Amino acid sequence: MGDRVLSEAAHNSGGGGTVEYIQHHLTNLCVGDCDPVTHQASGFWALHLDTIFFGYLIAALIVFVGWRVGSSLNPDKPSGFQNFVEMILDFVSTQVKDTFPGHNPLIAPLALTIFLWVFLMNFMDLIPVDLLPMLASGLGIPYLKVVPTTDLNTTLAMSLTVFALVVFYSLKVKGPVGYLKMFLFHPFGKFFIPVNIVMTTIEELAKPLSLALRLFGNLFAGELVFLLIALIGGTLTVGAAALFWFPLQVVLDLGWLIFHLLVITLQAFIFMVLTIVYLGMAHTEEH
Amino acid sequence: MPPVFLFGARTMKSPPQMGWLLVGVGSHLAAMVIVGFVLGYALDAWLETRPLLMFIFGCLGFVGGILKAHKMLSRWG
Repeated sequence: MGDRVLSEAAHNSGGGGTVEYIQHHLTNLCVGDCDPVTHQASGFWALHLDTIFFGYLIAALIVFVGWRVGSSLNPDKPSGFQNFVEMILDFVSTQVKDTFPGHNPLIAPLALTIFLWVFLMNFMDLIPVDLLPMLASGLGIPYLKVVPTTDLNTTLAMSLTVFALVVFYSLKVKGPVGYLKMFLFHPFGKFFIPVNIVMTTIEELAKPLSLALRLFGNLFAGELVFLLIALIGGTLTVGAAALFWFPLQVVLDLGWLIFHLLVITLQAFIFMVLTIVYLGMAHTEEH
Repeated sequence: MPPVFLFGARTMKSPPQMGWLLVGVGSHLAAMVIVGFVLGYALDAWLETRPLLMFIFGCLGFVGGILKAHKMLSRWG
């Protein structure tokens, strides 16, 4: 557990550095239109380099492992890892078959990509909170937030992509007229058309937002709890008090880690399954 | 392992895929209120009618969210 090691800012200011410690860990490595003092984005062209880097790193890992497994498939004598990958594929394809009404060859690969990518991005949360930022500060990188899904930009980007697909397939399956009809007559019938338009627009836009906020909220909160647990030992490791606080920290950290393992899997699963459901609703005539 | 416990073991009247929407009832309600306010805010900035549309759209989002949640939940009631 590398959690005990405090960042330099917190260390210098002693016990009062807890706020700095947490703020430091929740600050992205921002380039472009960023505030020079708070390091928060202050314009459109602000890029969170750490989020982008780890997101693509994990995507590359999935592609690489998929390619390695794909090039060494053995139907007669599958290796342990091949069995594991087949189990995941089987799980996702069963899920798609159960929840998706029509036939669309894009859905299962999309669901698998979302599940694996979100799960692995979430999994970065289980790496000790101080380990990678400390290594990075050794290399001269001042801020590093390693979990891409604790950045609203990642989750919103994914859910907006799903939303674009939903709109695309709604237009394709229902036709532009059928799609517009849904907006005109949906909750209150034909006498409240202006209200219906506003309400259905709100309802449709709420789908991607709730997808994004659920994932972001769960992971952000989880990360924060890891930081707070890291602070228990971190601020008090000097002197005899450490004998009490350190075991407490280890127990709490382990407990939260095991519980969080469930959370990250469930959140990845929910994101995947709701994507399938929303796309399935786009494919059916009745709304 | 499909987590069946999330929506109980009742018989479902509608197609099974709708059951998963229940996972998102709470956040969908919250998101509808937020979207209502943000949409109203954006339109207000455009039409310079602040705070009229923000208030109306916020209320509509809230009402719509409750209606939607009630509709989704009453299928299994």
